Order: sequence, then structure tokens, then C-alpha cells
Amino acid sequence: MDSRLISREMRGLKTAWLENGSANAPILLFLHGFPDNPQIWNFQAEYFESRFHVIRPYTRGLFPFEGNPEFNRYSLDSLSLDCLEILREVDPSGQRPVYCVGHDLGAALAWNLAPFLGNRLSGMVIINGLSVPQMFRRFGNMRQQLKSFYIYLMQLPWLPEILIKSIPKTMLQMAYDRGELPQELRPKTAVSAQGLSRMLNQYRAFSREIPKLMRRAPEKVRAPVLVIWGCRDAFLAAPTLDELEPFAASITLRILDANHWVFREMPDEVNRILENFLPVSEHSYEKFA
Amino acid sequence: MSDSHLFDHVALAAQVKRQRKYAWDLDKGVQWSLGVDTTLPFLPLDSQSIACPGASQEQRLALSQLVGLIINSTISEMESVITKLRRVAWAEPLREFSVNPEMWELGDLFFIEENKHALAFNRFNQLFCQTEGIDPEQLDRLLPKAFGSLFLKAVIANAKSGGHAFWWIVAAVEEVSLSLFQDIHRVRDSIDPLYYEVHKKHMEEEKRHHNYAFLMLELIERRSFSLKRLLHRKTDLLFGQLFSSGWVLGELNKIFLAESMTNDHPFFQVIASCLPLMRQLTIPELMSRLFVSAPYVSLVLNTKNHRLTSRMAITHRAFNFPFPDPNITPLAPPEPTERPLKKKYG
Repeated sequence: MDSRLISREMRGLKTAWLENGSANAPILLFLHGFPDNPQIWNFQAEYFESRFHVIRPYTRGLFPFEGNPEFNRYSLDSLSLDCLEILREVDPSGQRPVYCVGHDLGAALAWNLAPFLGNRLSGMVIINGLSVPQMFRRFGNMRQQLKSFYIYLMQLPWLPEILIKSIPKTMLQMAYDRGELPQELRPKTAVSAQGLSRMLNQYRAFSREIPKLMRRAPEKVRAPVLVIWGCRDAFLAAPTLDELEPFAASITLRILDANHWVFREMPDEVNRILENFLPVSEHSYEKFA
Repeated sequence: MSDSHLFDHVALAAQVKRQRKYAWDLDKGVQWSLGVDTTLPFLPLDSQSIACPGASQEQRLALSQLVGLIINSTISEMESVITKLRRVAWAEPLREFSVNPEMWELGDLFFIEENKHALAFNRFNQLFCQTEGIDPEQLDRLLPKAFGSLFLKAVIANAKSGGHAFWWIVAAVEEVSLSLFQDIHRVRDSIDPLYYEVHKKHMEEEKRHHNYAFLMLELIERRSFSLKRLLHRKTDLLFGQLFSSGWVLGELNKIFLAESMTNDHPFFQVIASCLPLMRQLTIPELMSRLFVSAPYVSLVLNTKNHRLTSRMAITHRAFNFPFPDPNITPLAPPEPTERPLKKKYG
């Protein structure tokens, strides 16, 4: 698989992504989570590159040469604008349908990005990730709070950065170990200490957005939404249909016996599920053709 | 990864396909035109005639038919109860826990099939009444009825409070149905052909879907995180056992009503004539037979006969009633030449 690394100056910062497949095909946008990088989607990029224009952005803070982002560049809306800029770059006409796949923090971003894409979004896939309002609604759920205690630790100033900068490999290892992702399935290129510590800002920025997001009436995603969930997730409890329905008009929930990184642990299975889902929502391509 | 199929959507989808492909139609799937041959028994009896030692050939025939009708009615009532609890015991937990779409599909099929089975068993019982010229309402007085019973109210209350006694009961009923068919199958040439066919059709679908109750129990077990759910997980089996056993015993007691119906039909007269034989037994003897040795009845009452349910109870670490070890009396297949003294009652 030949991935092309593209980087452009966008909104005053270098923004980078990996690209595969034909530039005329529908766009398949993969948004990774913490503490991953775009390589985490290698199995999917390779599988879909013959039929889709696969775009895998580096999340803000991760790309080594992007400059020095201000804190507000980690907010959901700002990250969504970065994605829109990338899409404008790869499809200047804005006519090609977009399928968005988000995992972990990338899923929170996908939920936020969906209304910006409007009709252009032909389908969205959420893999072991929650929207910020969903996470907020789980505040009363003790089990979820125990699973995501680290989010609270990340809100502390300096301490997480000091830890990550002093023992970056250990911190990364701890995250993957807790998520039970086997060594051989971890991204080949590990995220740098700087990248990791900058990505922490996403947790902080997302938390600060909760009051704003709670004031906003939840806008239902009109495109079909598929939620794939590895039920042995150490960080997040599986969502229920009751929980998901306020956020999407048409939703399918698929549960697999896998960990947080279900698409790495069961790539063939997840690719098959994605393949079954994508052509269904491809009907909406007709309106752009 | 576990060996369970609960989250194996490929295996579940294959099961959906299989169930759809082989589903039978209530009207066309069973040869109702065979009619009921009331000169033949419905079930093989044990040498003690369940609880009536020394019963005559005519009494054995009537008892075999009555027990057959009671079994039909019990399964039919249980399966009707299942469909009544669809929302509270199935749809709500599935919405609350996260499952694949195939679990919903399989559940839909499960309820459709259970409803069909209930209708099939009822239809058989009605055909028996038609053939014998018995008023179905009178026969119903002797048969188990769940609606309005304390048992049903208790199961609904349990489900509404987040419990799953219902699925323990369903799992047990599914197992009993399969074991029962093995007994019937062994004597298929000597019993009423339509009775055999209805149970064969029932068994075919039960065999394909009997794992559903176990999948539901597994799902509930995996998702029981709160203290309340943990309490239910521990006690619901016991709750189900106590209420279902109480219900079965109470409903069996109805056969003593036959004594007040002797003038209504000779069938009731023969049944009533068996009751003094039953009264020869002391209460402890009768209870021992019902729970330990009586075929069919002890199969229902004694959960030690339910191998899969017992195994699941261990997995759930659920409290299980300490029933005595079963020792079911071997069944005596009816002689092929055996015929009742009178061809038809009356």
C-alpha cells in the first residue's frame, strides 16, 4: 500500500494527512483517536483504497512540523474546520460524497463534523467512541466514570505533560496495555512525546466545551450512522439504542467481541461490516453525480 | 475471545436465515386432516401410570391422553406468556443492553414461532374435543391456565423491576420440550399420529431457536453491573423455580375437578375413576413421585433435569433450589396391538 503524506498550510498551521486511492472516488475520511496516529487505520486504508479516496488526517497537535497551535485550535469546532479545509483541498468542487469513520476522540470529532458536512455526508461510522454530549450524559454512570478516570487526570495542568515527557514510551505502553491492544497491532511509528502531550489538549478543550454543547439542541445526523463497538472496551461502556437515538435519524449498532481497537483486533470483520454499510449509503451519491 | 455466539453476528445471521428457511406454516405445515385418533394414547406412561398405581388399560389410555393434553396446554400457556412479556422482558432489556441487529431479528422470530406453537397445541386440544364431543370449556377446567395466575403476575413484576426470571423459565421450558420429544419419538408408531406430528413440528423449531433464551441470559449476565442487577442475577432463577413449580402443582390439582364432571362426558368419568388410585398415595409419596420419578411432571418441576439451565446457573452463580436427584421411572411403550376396551368414550 502506497500512502501519500500531504501537508498544507491551513488556517495558519501546517495540516497533514495520509492519502490513498483515486482522487475521483467517494471520500472515506478516517479520524483517529488518542494516542494513535493515522497509521492505526492501515488495515482499512489498504482494503478500501481501490474504491474510495481514503483520507486519514493527523489530529491537531500530532504532526511534528505543524507549528505551535493555540489552545482553541483543539476545540471540536476548530478540529472540524481543519477537516473541512482538508476536504476542500482534496475535493475543491465539494461534490463528492463523504463517508466519515471516527474512533475514540476521532468519533467525538466525527459527531461534531457531521452537521458541517450536511447532505454531503453520506454515511458515518463510529467505532468505540462517544460524542461529547453523550459522555456528559454518562456523568451519573459510575461504571463509566471508573473506566474513564484518566480523563479527569488529564484535566490537571502540567502533571500529565511532565509524566508524558519523562516516560513517553511507558505512558503510551500503559494506554495500549490497558486497552489490551497486542504489541503487533500497535502503530509501527509511535507518537512522539510532544505529539502525545499536545493531544492531551483535546481532552481539556472537549471538556470545556460541555456547557456550550449542552446548551445547543442536539442536531440529529441525517445520514445513516453505523456504530461498531468492541464490547471488551476498557475505557468506554457500550452505548444503547436509547442513548444513541437522539443523535441520529437512522442508526445501526453492531457489537463485536473485541477490545477498544476493534478495527485493529478484527480488521477483516470490521472491513466486511464497513463494506456492507457503505454501498447502502452510497445511494446518496446519486444526488451529487 | 469467548466461545459464545452472543456477539458473533455471522453465526446469528446464519441462524436467522435457517429459521426463516425452515419455518413451517400453522395451517399447511401440520397435517390437521389426520384428525385425532382417540383410540390411541398420546404419550407413553410409566409402569406406575404416573401417580396412579394399578390403573386399568382404559384408565391408562385416558390418563395418557389427559397428560398429553395437559402438556400441550402447559407448553401453550407458557408460550403465550412469552409473547405477553415481549415488551417488558425482551424489547426493553435489548434497548438497554447493546446487541447486534440479528439479536433483534432472532427475537422477533422467536416470538412469532412461540405464538405459532401455542396456537398449534391449542388447535390439537380443540380437535380432540371435537372428535370426542367434549365441550372445550369443560376440558379447559382441567388444563393449566397461566393468565390471571399469581405466577404470571409474579413474573411480570419481576421483569418490570429489571429481573429476568422469565428467561430462566423460558430456558427451562425449551429444554423440557426437547426432552419430552425424545420420549414421544421413541414410541411414535404407537401413539396418535397427529399428536406426534404437532410435537415433531414444535421440536424442529425449538431445536433451531432454543439457544435464544440462553443468549438472553448470557447478555443479562454480562451486563449486570449494578447492585440491583447483581441481586436479580443471584435470585431470579430461584424466584422462577418457586413460582413456576407452585403454578404447575396448583394447575395439576385441577384434575380433581373431574370428579364433579363425571356426568358431562365419559372421558371425565374415566379420569375421575383414576383419582381414588391417586389418593392411595400419601402426600410425601405423591410429592416424591411428582418431583423425582413421575415422567413429564418431574421433568418440568425438577430443574436438575434441565442440564443446560443448571450449567448456566453455575456460570451466573445463581441460587438454585436444592431439588432431589431425579430418578424418572422408565416409560413403558404402549403395545402396538393394545386397544382400549371401548373404541370411543361413550
